[in-house]
Amino acid sequence: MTPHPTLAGRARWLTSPSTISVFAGIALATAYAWASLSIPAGTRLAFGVILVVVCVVFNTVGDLVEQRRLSVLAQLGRGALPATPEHLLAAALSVARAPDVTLVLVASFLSGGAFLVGVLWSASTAAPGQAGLRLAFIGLVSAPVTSLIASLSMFGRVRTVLGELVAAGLPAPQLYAALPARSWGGRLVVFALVAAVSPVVLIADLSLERFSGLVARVGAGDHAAARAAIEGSFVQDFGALAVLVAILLVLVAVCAWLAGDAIGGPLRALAEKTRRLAAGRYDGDFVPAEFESLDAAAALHAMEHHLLEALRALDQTSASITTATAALVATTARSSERLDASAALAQTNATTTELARSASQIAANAQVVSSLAQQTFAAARSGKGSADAFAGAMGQVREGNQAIADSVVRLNKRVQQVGRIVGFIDSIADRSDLLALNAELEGHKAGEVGRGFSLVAAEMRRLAESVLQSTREISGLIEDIRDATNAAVMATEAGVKATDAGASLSGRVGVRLTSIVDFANQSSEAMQRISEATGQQQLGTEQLVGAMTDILRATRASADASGAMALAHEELVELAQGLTRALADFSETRR
Amino acid sequence: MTLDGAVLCQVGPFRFALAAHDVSSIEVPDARGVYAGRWFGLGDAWPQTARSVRAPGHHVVVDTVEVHGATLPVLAMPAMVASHLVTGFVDVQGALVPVVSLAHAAERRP
Repeated sequence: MTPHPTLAGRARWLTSPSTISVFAGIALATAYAWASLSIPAGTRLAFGVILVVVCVVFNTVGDLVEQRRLSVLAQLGRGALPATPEHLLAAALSVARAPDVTLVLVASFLSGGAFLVGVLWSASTAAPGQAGLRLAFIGLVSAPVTSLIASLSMFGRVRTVLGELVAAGLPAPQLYAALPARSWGGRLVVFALVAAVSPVVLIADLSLERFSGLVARVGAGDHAAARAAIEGSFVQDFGALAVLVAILLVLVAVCAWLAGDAIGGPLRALAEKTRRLAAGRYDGDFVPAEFESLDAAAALHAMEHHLLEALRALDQTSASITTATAALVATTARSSERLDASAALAQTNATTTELARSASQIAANAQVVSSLAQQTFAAARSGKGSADAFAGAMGQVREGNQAIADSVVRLNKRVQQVGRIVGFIDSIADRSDLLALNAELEGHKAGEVGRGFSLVAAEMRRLAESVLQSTREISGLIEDIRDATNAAVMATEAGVKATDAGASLSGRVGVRLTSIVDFANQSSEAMQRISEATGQQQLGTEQLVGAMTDILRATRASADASGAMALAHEELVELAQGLTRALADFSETRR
Repeated sequence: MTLDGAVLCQVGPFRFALAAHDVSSIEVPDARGVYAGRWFGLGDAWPQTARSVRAPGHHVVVDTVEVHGATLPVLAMPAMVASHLVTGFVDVQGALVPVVSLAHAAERRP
């Protein structure tokens, strides 16, 4: 990953004021100790070495602790971590806590370091233990002021880094919600006490030190030295005191300026932000702040967010109003064209009138068709009656044919009986002929005696032959009659079959005619309903003609009113355009 | 020589005569009858109206039979062609009809 362009080196940059403040405080404390303490000449080198070593060690340790606390920020700066909202938020929280961490570290370092220097210096150089304790005391007294300055000097950079984290992608609302709610109240009291008490304590310590040295000289009987100290100490002590007071005043002034900047900086930023909002410039910038001003910045940011949402909605509404107004203008323009539409409507009215006439004609035709359907139904019903009558006649014909067939059969039987009788007569005649022939033969064989007998026999034979001839003719006639009766029987059977077929056909015709009657009845009923529907349609069409006439009148009245509406719409368009321009000003300031 | 009474028999288009005293009776033919048409190549079937001319010990079936009572002159057969079957010819209404001996005719077997 590549280093972040704005966050690179920010961890070190953030803590550098604390380092400077610490070394400045050490320098001042050392100078004070050098001035207030009587460091033996042989121990000064050791004192200096011990002081430097302790300062380097403690500063290194403190710097490691601070950088460890800001490790996420350092990794983001190096590009070791991606600039996700989670990483950015973790870095922001560590940055926000950095002044407090520095305050504790510097206070601990100065007090503990001074004590350690005093102990090591006394132990290594056989310096008076009281001097070591005084050295620890000086460090303890200078620690609050130094740590306060170090902490206050970081607030400005903390706000800068927080702004850069937001610019790097950290959502401002998320940061506002995650930062702890703190108050300046207790801190200002502590700062005031430190700023007020520390100079007093140091001045009192210096005075006490001078006084105790004088008392020690007097107690030792060195009155000359005491006198000389008294006489010469005024200028010396006054100068030292004046330098000390001046340094302390500078420290207090620095503390006050830093505290004022820590408090006033966010307030100035909030004021500037408020002025931008009042001017309609909604840039959505993050306002870095601490303590109470943090809540104000969060509230202001939320307000800005809501105002932006409202402006967006208003912008969309303005666009909709503009679009709708344009549509209204176009509609009004079209309304003016409705005179043409009214012409089309008049044409439609004429078409509807023609439609009404056609509907009337259709209704009349439907009535005629309905009447024809009823006549068809009556004809079909009559046809079915004729078919039934035909079927009955066919039955009678079949019965007549059957009776004829029976009679012919009986006649045939009679003819057969006659034939048998004729056959019997024929056999008798044949025997008679044979007897007559034999009688004639015997008569001839009897000679003259049997001549008369032969003549009678011959005459009988001729009679028998006549009978045979007649019976043969009768047999021929009977055969003709038999053929005729057989033909009649066959004809009557064929007639019976034909009448059966005719009866079956007439039955099927009856069934078909029944279906036709049903269909004709349904057709008649359907045509009746169609006739009624067309009548209703004719009535509806006439009502439609009336409605179209009313619409035509209303359209003409609407066309008259559209002119007045057009003027009103043009005024509405101008108002909408004015609203759009006003919102456009806001939109431009938002970019 | 004359023939006193003759029985004229008709078989198909052919006719022949029998001496009346040779014929004992004329009957309806039965199944045992012999049709004279066989002599003339007309087959064995006789018509329904056929008659059986019976002589003692012989009978023959012919189509029709007619008794002729008049005395008919017989033309004798020439000696060189005389036979026992046809004994002569009689003139019946201008036509010569052979006189057949039924006994010899019955002996002829086709």
